[in-house]
Amino acid sequence: MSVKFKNVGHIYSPDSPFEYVALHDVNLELPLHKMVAIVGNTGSGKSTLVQHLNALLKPTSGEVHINDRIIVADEKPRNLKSLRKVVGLVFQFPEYQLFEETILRDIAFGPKNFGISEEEAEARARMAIKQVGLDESYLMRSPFDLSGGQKRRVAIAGILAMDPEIIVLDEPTAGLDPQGAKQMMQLFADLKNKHNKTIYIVTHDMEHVLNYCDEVVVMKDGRMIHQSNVEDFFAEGELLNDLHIAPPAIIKVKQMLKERGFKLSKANDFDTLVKDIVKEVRK
Amino acid sequence: MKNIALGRYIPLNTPFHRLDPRAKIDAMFLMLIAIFIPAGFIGYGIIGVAVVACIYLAGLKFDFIVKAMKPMMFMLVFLLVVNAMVIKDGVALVTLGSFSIYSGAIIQTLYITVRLMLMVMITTLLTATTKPLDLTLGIECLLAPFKKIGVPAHEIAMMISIALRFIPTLIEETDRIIKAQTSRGVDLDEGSLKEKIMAVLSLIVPLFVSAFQKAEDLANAMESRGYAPGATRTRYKVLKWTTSDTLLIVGTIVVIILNVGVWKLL
Amino acid sequence: MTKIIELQDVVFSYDENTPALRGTNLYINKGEYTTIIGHNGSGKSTVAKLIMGLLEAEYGKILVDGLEMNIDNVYEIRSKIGIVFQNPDNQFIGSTVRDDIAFGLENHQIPQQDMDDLINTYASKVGMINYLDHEPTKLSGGQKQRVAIAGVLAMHPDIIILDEATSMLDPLGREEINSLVHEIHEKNDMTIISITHDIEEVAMSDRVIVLDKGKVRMEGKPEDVLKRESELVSMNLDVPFGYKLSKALKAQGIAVHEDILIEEVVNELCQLNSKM
Repeated sequence: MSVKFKNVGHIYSPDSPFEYVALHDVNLELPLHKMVAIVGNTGSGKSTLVQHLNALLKPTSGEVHINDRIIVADEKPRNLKSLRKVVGLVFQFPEYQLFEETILRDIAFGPKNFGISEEEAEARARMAIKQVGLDESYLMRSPFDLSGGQKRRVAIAGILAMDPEIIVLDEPTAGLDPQGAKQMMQLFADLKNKHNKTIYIVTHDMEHVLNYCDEVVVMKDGRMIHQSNVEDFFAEGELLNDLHIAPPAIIKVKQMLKERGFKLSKANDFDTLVKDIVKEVRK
Repeated sequence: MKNIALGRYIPLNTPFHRLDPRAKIDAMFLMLIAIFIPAGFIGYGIIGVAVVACIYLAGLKFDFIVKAMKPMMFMLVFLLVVNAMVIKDGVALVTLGSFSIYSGAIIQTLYITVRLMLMVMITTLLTATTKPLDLTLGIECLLAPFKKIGVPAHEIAMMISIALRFIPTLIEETDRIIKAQTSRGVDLDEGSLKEKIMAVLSLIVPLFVSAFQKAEDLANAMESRGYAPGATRTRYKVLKWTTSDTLLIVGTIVVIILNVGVWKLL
Repeated sequence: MTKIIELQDVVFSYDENTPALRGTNLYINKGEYTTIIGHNGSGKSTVAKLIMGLLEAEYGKILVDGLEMNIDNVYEIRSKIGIVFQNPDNQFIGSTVRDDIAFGLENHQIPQQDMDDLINTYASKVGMINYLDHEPTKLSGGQKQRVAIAGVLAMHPDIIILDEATSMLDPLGREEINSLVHEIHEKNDMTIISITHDIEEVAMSDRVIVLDKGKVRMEGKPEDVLKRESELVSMNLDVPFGYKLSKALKAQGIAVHEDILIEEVVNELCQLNSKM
């Protein structure tokens, strides 16, 4: 059981004036039951990459392996629904996919499409709305009466109710305030830790990468240029500079102190940093 | 979805691109009139030669034009079926039991197909070689005489230019919504009628919501930058009529005269 | 300090049940870089729209550069202010960069023969001179926001409002826009109002206003406001990392000041380290 990209290339509108190579020969293995951050700037191919995970896009060359499914270029895959039930994909600004009269029906829409009975789908909707931090009283309201942040939660509940094993999120915290973003990230962390889900998350927020993710994949110009655990990623000063990534404040402080002769341990948590500084200054 | 060709501007710098939009719009209308002169296939031949010459001048690839015509395929098939059932002229070509398809039906369908092809070619020629903003400027100029009778020429032009500007954005948005709902198990190809209705609703409602949001944002942005409906504005783009523009109009009129000749004489 | 913008007892609600501003009083000093923070729904963006006259206050007074906002003044007031909104796509009006910058010039009735020069000048100022004929779909979010800034600058406003202008951008775009805005502020003495969630940006600004449930809860210099931890936390807002760190170190008996900027904390620590 794993998620693998083998020599995956993707070309949009091949053989037309608008031809555009979005992925070049990507080889990648993503771990399960972990939270993996996919980072990179606009046009780096990260959105194209994640859309291969539930076969919304098919590789124009190479293979994508998801559990026992293999999506091969030039071959029409069958029964994609079974794959999309396993891999739930939450697009950027998912609040724009709400359409039903009530929140209950909107959340139950996904599960019902995958053949879950009406009662079961509604039971799942009741679970999912609580998971995203809203209470059941919301279920009979119209999704269009909610605030932006609440709409986003409902949209995510719509994917959770499908009970996918792998949840892929494209910039789920974009446009939320810091508090709302933190709650959202905590939700994903709970899904991973308590429900054993696999989370792949496209994000620009390095604080989130540091505090919640296990691994980092870096995309640039359609290529995968780095994959490592979070600690090693933030140790790559040159890479961060090259990507114009502003590291989280704690990493920045550590870098500055190290440059000026401080000896600090590798762990990136606040208490260790304070302890290390105290030790150094009192030395 | 993203490689839709109909109505798309192709940024090139050819003599045809440089023509005055007013000339191109006028020529388009004249050509559309020419198409409705009943000069048969010969007439269409004349128009066809002129249009293909212009396409060549405009540096457009032929497969781009073909792509622009793709959306009509369904309509043409439908037309063929209707014609086959209604038109009973000419020789019977195929007979299935008591039902026959006559040559008249085929010819009639072909005739309309060619007519539609020419119309799409002509309009594509205009939209592919004229920047949306120039196009609206042209429309505005041509509508100017009607201002006196209360036609809000400028507002109409502004609406069209914004609609054109937002087509690519809305296509992207549609693409995104389709993918988002597909991820939720929506299947546009299969399922019962009820499921299909739900599938379509799941696309249309979000698209409207997002379009209204965009409209509101855009209105704010326009007002913030000093736009007031009805107020006097200066113009950045100034249209210049050149000899080539006159030539285009003359050429188009020649095509019309030839077609009228064919209609009256043959 | 001259107050260039003042809101006095302003009340506004989008619908009956949800008042957005409940008697808000605030002011902006001329030439300062002011940040406005508060969580979503605190009324930040409403303030911006009221100042632009895009919304009409139900009660209270809005003064911009000595003019009181009303139906006769609204166009004159708007000509003093440029605003960059959150969504890069929804504020790009022209079909190309060139046309988009021209849109505002046309509204301000700039003579046609002057437009090309102005477009070139301001497109170079924001580093978009090589993209004049690009369509918006071919530009990144950061580039679109730069074009929006060029469009604003070309109209010579006294005030620029950034309404979460970088929140939808990638790190590169964010960096570009932030440094561009700082440059504009320093070179032209322009008044900048930035509505933001970025606490580090707030730490760098001249003055900060904290909004909560449609009221100003705190205001003043960032180095004072950002140290009021319990109040910030009660409004679900962050404290800057520099402050957290210096406070924790102080609690451990290290002789550092409670600073909000990381750089200052690090400098102090280095001095301490070398003295030992």
